[in-house]
Amino acid sequence: LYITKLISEGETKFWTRDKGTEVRNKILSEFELSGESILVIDFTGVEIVDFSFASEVVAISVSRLAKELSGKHILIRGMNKSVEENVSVAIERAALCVLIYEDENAWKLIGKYSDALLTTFKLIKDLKKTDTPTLAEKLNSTIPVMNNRLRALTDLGLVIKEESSAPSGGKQYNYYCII
Amino acid sequence: LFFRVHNVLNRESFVDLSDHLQKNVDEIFNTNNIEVDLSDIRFSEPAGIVGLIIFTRFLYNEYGIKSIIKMPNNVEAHKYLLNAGITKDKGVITEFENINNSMYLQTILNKLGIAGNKTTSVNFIAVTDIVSEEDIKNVNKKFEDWMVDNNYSEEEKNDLQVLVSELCQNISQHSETVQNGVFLMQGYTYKSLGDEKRCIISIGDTGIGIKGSLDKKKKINEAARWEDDYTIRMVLKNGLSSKEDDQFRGNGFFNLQRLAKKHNLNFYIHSHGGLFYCEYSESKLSKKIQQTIYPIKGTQVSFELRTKKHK
Repeated sequence: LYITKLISEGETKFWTRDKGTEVRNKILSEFELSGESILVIDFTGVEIVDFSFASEVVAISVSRLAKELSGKHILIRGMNKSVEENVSVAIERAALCVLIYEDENAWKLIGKYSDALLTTFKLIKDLKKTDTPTLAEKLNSTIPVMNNRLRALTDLGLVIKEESSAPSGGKQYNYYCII
Repeated sequence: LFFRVHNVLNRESFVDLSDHLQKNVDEIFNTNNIEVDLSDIRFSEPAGIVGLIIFTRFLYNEYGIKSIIKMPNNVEAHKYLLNAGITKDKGVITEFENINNSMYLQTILNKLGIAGNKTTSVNFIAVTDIVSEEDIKNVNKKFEDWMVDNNYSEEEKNDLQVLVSELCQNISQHSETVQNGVFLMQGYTYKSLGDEKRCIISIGDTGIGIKGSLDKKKKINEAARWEDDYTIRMVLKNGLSSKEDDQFRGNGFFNLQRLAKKHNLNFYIHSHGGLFYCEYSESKLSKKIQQTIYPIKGTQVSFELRTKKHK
């Protein structure tokens, strides 16, 4: 885990897209240098963020998990009600979602996601390690449908995808929940 | 050629000015001047002041016409307009008649911090340029002070500061404004309404307007066919962004609508030839006006916040 605290430099109120870009660039470059795979953005002590700041720091970072940050993951924690509302709107407007994780019993997704995606995520979390056929069977669905959901969850950085060799000699993928 | 504002300078005065321009456009161009007569007014609201600034700047930017503003005869109204910053563009864009020079001097001294009676009340923020992040933080801090003084909850303070921040950022990031964007705030206490407090904030620019911004980036193909008033309606509803290839922007107006509903705000938007006004009460839309006017380049957003429920 690489944990970054937003208030580390003493500020508790964060405004504007420019400030968000500056903070995001700093966080992501330090995260990449750390070599860790999970970034925890800790909002503890932050009083307020506007939508533009939230969009730059959270929504754009999450969107990059499907591209240049592929294989990395993002968690959020420590948000007060107001900050959570603004981050939620920012990420929902970008048609993305992110995981808020406080502890094993206090986690939730915020943003835009379907019930089916949430159900699949919960099942992966319960199973610890799984694969497409298992999920399809347990959710009474098909492998193509499951593959689509797993691709979405992987692009959002909510699951870890690991390649292994199938008994038949081909490739197969196992999936782990990030929490 | 002159236009007289009667009694109150408010957002409706801007509509009247636009009508006046439409009816007399040839004469205004022929004489190359216009006088806005405020001698009769007794009261000014932020939307009226910012609207007048946008109007005079538009005439100058588009046609090189200098406006003459005749100041109020009423002493308090006169003093208020000077303190609010009505003379901001004095010189190239506007000239003033009937100006009380002793009051004017006092205003200049106040602004320089020389005079002893400089106002420190958070009930009022005079016309302030919005250019940088620092400007946004500064006006937001003063707005927060006003809300603290008037017993707003943390949630309300946070939401409304976010709104001010987003609307101010629209100016610096999207508007391509010719002159700097401006911010003006005034708090009021209504004795007749049991000391109900209200606050009006008005933010304006002389830029390309909401539709111009969308058209330029060709983000929304069908927007090219939209009228200005319909464009305002659509950005309020959908939060459309003018930034190409960027799904993360364009939340300012969407959030204005959302927060208006949540906090029972009244708000007003002018953008070029479109006007939109909404009133919310008990989290429901209680009044809506959508209209077209003679196009005056720029965008103005004003909203009113009431504190009755805190009393």
